[in-house]
Amino acid sequence: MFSFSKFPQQNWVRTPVEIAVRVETQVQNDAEGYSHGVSSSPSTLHLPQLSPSPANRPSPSRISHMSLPRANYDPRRVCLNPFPEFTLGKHRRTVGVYLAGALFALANWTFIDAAILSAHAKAPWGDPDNDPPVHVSFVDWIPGICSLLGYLVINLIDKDRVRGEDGFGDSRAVWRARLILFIGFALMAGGLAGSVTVLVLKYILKGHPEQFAYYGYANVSQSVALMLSAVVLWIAQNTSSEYEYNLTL
Amino acid sequence: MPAGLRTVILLSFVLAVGFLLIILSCALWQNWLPLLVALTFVLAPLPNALFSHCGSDDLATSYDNAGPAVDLGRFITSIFVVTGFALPIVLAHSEVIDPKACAMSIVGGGLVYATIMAYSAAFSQEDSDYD
Repeated sequence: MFSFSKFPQQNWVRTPVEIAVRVETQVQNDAEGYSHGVSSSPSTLHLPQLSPSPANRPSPSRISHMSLPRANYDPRRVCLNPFPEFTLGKHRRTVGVYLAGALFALANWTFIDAAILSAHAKAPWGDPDNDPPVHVSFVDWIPGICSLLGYLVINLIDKDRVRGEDGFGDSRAVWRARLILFIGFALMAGGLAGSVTVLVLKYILKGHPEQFAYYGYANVSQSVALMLSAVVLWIAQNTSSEYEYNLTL
Repeated sequence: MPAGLRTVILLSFVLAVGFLLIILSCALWQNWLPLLVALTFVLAPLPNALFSHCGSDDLATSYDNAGPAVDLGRFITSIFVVTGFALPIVLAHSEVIDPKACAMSIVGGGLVYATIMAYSAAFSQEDSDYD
């Protein structure tokens, strides 16, 4: 329950009408874990000679007691349009986890495919001088390893810590969790950037044919699929929580 | 019970066909690497089966509020399934195995996995019937 009042501004002296709007928010959790806000807003008009009652003023103690604001009043929201809701029904957590696992495996198999292909790219028979110009070396493995480490770090974090409700738990813990989360995302982004770097510096700028540039493309798609997998897993594990928490982008 | 018996016989037949395809894909080209596909698909339902009893107690009947252990089981199962499909493709791409062997092993592995899934689904259905 929270209420806020709109008091007349200074230039509204001609029409000193005080409007107090009280918004009541009820939260119901149904079986799907949604939180619906049922709001009723009776607005009362106070005559100007009436002294405004202190109950209608937005005192800080009342605001701190508000339970679960509606999504429209989410103070963390930055974008005008909120993140789209995923409505996959009651299976959405399961589907998300399966999808994340599939993307994870797909990412790693893409790169392993390139590595196996490179290891089996031998010189044509009878022409030992015509070796393949480039091979997958350890440099190609580094971005994937960075991405994998970042994936691990992101998924080892307690999601409730990152959410960071004030007055709940230790604020230092929230700070540390956010730092570790940042390190994880930085590792993943570094893996993506590194894979693009390897693609450009090792394969495109050297002018290798498309057959060998595939190694670089596989590297980039590995990093991209790992990021997608992390995002899908994050969303899937957050949608079914009690509080409606979206990635406030 | 005759229906259940028929189901079991049909599923075992499909399972045999799946294993036949995989073994044929190995034996026809004298390259036994596609046998890994059978191993992968047999192992694929294992994490799900192991972890499904981990996080839930009897009171939490909600399907969706599974614990993180169940999620881990699903994750690993998904990895296994994708691995089973990706492994022959990768091997065929680098010309270790024949493309026809790749197709046969994928179909055989899919049959094996579908058999395991259908079998477990049928049994869980019967369990809930008799409870």
